[in-house]
Amino acid sequence: MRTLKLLGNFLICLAVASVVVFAVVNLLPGDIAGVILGPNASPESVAALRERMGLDEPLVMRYVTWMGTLLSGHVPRSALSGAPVGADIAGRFAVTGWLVFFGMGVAICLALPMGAWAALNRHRPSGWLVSGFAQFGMAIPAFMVGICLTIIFGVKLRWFPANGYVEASTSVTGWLSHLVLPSITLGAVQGAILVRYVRSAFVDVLRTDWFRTARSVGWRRWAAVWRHGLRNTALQLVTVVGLQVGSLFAGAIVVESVFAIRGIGTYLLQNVSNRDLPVVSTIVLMLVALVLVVNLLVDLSYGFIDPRLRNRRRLGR
Amino acid sequence: MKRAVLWAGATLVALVVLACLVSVAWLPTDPNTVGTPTLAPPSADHPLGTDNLGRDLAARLLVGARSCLLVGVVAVSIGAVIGVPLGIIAGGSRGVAATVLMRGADIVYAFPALLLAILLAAARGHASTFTAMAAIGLSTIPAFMRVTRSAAVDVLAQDYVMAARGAGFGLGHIALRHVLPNVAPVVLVQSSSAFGVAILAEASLSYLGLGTPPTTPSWGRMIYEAQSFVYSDIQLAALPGICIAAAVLGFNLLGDGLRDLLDPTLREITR
Repeated sequence: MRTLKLLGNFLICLAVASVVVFAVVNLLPGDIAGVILGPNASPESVAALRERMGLDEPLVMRYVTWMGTLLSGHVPRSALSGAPVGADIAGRFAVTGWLVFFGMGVAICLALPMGAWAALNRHRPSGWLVSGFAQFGMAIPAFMVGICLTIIFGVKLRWFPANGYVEASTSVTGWLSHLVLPSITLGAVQGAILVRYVRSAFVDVLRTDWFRTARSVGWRRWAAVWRHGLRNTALQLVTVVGLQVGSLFAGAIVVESVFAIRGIGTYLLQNVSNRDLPVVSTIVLMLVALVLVVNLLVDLSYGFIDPRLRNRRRLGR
Repeated sequence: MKRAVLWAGATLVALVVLACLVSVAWLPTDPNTVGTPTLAPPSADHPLGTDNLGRDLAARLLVGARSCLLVGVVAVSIGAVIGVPLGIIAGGSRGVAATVLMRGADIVYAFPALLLAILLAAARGHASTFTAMAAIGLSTIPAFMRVTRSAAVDVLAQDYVMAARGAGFGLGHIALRHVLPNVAPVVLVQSSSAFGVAILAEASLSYLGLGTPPTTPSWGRMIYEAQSFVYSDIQLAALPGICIAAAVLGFNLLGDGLRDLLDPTLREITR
């Protein structure tokens, strides 16, 4: 029952989000064909594009056509070249997907130990130091981190490629080495944000009666944190990591620009400067849908992570 | 020592505001004047040297503070002016209305500021400070709504609100006289944190060419323009980078400090 309700909510949110994207592009003042072709376009070419894009049809019909195309698994054609862009978008999404995946890995690997350390040592200088370090990390823009890493590890030390991307099918080691610096850039900034949440989740656990009991029956501090703390903070952490997926993808757009990676972010920016509105609005909707899907998965995962929630539901409480 | 975080934050914020005020009253030279020498080291004429086009770095950094504060103030105002009333309404309503409002917040939350800015820039045909401010402002609304709503729910359960209702005062009166003053501290803390987020978002947008236009100096754009010269003239990117970090750190610390001051019970959990 709860699953159905969550699914219903997700579908409503997705539908509203699609209306929002459509409305922003189509209802803001200005003629879409004029925007796409730029200020120097002749009235004839603008009229021809209006015809080709079906801009003279009623708004509702255009929305239905757009959604129909997307729901049938297709992507609208480029307004400029008229060429299909589905394969491009899929390929670019795969690149960004790997970047976000590794970036999230880096963020979690940094934030879990640092947050736990800051919580356990919250009354000691070492704990303050970790918290301060995270505060500092939150304040540095991702592109600045990227530029610094490129200078140090890409150009001076030459440990990793300074920019670019190689497909895994061409060379697995090349693929991995090209992803190292971008993933660290993306993960370090997100990790710094995550540290605060991990710390507060662990502080909550450290204050519970059962944690004190575990300690008093002889569990060592880190062993007790590992055995009892991690499991009980999982719910909060999954929520926060889920909520960060949106900012990870937004961060990836910046990181791809710094490292000249041909992912969905650079593709999106390229289409913004080409003023290819159908492609831009479709990619934006896809990214928003992705964020909503992850939020849905996070909501669905609660029952698996915390058996108490599952049982409470079964008992109808 | 107890209020070190608050003071550190306030000092950094004061420095940024001071830089902004100085830039209004006085500048070493015009920040957009192109000339020679290019990539010059610090001198009497150019206190921090010049960039690749011979523009004065100090003047550009000072004007950059203006862009950063402008976007921050407008974006946070949009977030607060829309988010706080909606949060109070959501806190005071039950059933469908509350669900619709909070689902709306969820939907806006699914649009990161960067995506909104990209969409607005694409729809209007060009990026501008306006599209950046609007996008960042809209994306901060859900956070304002959530903190206001949870604070408003607490206030609305208080006896004095019941008494006001019993005395026949309407919801508008209660919201203005009782709820708003009591949620103001939470909103203040949220505003400070949102300001930090807005500065970072503005810097990213300017870096990508989707924010402040190149004719107006902004810290993010300065870093983008300096990228080709970072191997020889690192200060061109490092100085605006330090400015951004200091401004964001300042507002984040100020927010934390204010929260500790206003609600000491949260101190240990959230730092």
